[in-house]
Amino acid sequence: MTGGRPRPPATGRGAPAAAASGGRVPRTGRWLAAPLAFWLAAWFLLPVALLLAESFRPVVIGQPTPPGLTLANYARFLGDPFYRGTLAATLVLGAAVTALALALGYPVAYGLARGRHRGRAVLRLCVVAPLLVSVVIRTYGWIVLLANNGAVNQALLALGLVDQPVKFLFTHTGVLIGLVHFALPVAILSLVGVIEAVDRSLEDAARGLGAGAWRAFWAVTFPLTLPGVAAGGMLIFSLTVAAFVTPALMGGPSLIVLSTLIYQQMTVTLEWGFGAAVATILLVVATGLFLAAQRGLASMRGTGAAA
Amino acid sequence: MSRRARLLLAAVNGAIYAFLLAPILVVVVVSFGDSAFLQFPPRRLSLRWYTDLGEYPDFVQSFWLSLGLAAATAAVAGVVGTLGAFALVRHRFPGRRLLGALVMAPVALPGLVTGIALLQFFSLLRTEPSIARLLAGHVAVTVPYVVRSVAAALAGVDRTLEDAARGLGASPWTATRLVTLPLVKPGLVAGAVFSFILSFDNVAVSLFLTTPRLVPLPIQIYNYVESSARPIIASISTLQVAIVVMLLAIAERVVGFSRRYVGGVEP
Repeated sequence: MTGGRPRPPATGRGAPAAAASGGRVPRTGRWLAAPLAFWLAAWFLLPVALLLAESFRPVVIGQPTPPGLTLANYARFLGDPFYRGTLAATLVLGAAVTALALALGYPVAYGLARGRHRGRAVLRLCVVAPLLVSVVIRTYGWIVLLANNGAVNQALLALGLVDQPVKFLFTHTGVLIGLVHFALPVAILSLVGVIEAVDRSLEDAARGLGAGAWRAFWAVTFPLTLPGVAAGGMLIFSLTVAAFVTPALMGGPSLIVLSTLIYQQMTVTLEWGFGAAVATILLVVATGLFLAAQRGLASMRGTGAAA
Repeated sequence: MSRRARLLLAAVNGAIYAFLLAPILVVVVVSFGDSAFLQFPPRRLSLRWYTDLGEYPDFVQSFWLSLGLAAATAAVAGVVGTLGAFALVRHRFPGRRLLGALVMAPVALPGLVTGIALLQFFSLLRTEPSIARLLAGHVAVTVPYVVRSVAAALAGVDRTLEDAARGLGASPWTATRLVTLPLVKPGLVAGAVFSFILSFDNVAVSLFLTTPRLVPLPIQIYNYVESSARPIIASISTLQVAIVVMLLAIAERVVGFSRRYVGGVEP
């Protein structure tokens, strides 16, 4: 949206003079922008700024907040092995989900980007469908599938792969499955763009020079998509570390991540200053990677425009 | 690609598509079961979990609340976002660059952080908990998509058409209303529909702005799942999915929604 040019003065006569004489410059722009600017400022920017400020305020339980700024909330987070462990668990889980989603998403994205068959529109819709269903419902679906007497365990038992039901719910494995499902559509959609951006004729040239299909893919196409894969990975990572519903419902108390810790602080223990500090840490990790990913994906598509 | 490689790719991808759709399909199937407990696959089919929905007034209330909230979010975000997109693409005003840079910020921030920030903000303001709080938050996180979608449509409008209308004597407003707006309409409808769905599905922001009497449907489902995975959750979830699907089908007929969003969807 940054590509817009200012509207030329509407009056046919004396346009430069009108622009120069200040008072006659149309003020339409600011009136049109006012509701959007107000809404974002009042219901987004100001609250977020106050949340960041809250994280630097000293807290003495049971007393009015003393003046001044402090890093005590952050020091408490970094000084406590339990909280450090939460951060580590979040990052490790994010990395595992990212790697799995990219690995599973790549072949699907390749099929969508390079395939020429008629079912492509339907397949794309299948990829987008999970994104349009509330994450609570998707998670409920996984709980039904992965329960001790759920479809997955029934199938595993019937095939004789296990003797007794595998415990998926309230374990890391269950959360991992749920989060990979959560991240996979995003992985596929960003990788489709990345693979489409690689000139098909390069692969054809490799084939023409005698390379097999596998070799042409691994030697030519795959390396060219790596920067885009990295950008897609950052996007997935940023979304995964911020995910709340899946770890909360499928992990339960067995797995506390940053988002569930924040929820606990804000609604159960009511330590807002500390909760605000954890939220700020999550914000920095997630938003930083999100912005870096946007930049990377935009330049891969060659548009360079704001995504 | 060789025949074998193509078959292998198709098999792997088939399994991954099944993985993508499984949790959604399983919810739909369970909702038509007959058993009082969660059972998959269901032994017998029935509609009892739909006819019994009336016995769960909290679900019914949440359903109407979410439907109304999503409609209001789509309407407000549609108007505010469209005006903003016109300002950003067609006009020059102080702070235009800043607004253009900040307008996507609600998409970049984790929804959970926005939700907490609003919770803290509203308690500082000491406002009474109300649906207005939810609306304020939902519009803030969905309006960027309207701005982007309308701005993209607007950038594709040929300015000479408007100039022609002006040359034939139309006022700026008439030219905009009769020429530009109809051309921008697909972008506007797609953005508003997307806002509706995001609001209807929203958990992260709603989670912190609910009160015992104002519980949007996704939060109500969340609360139920947290205590037990009963089949009644499946039927209300299926209804929610059905509404989203219906809306998408209409949007697809009217403006070709998938051409705009498939490929560019961000959660």
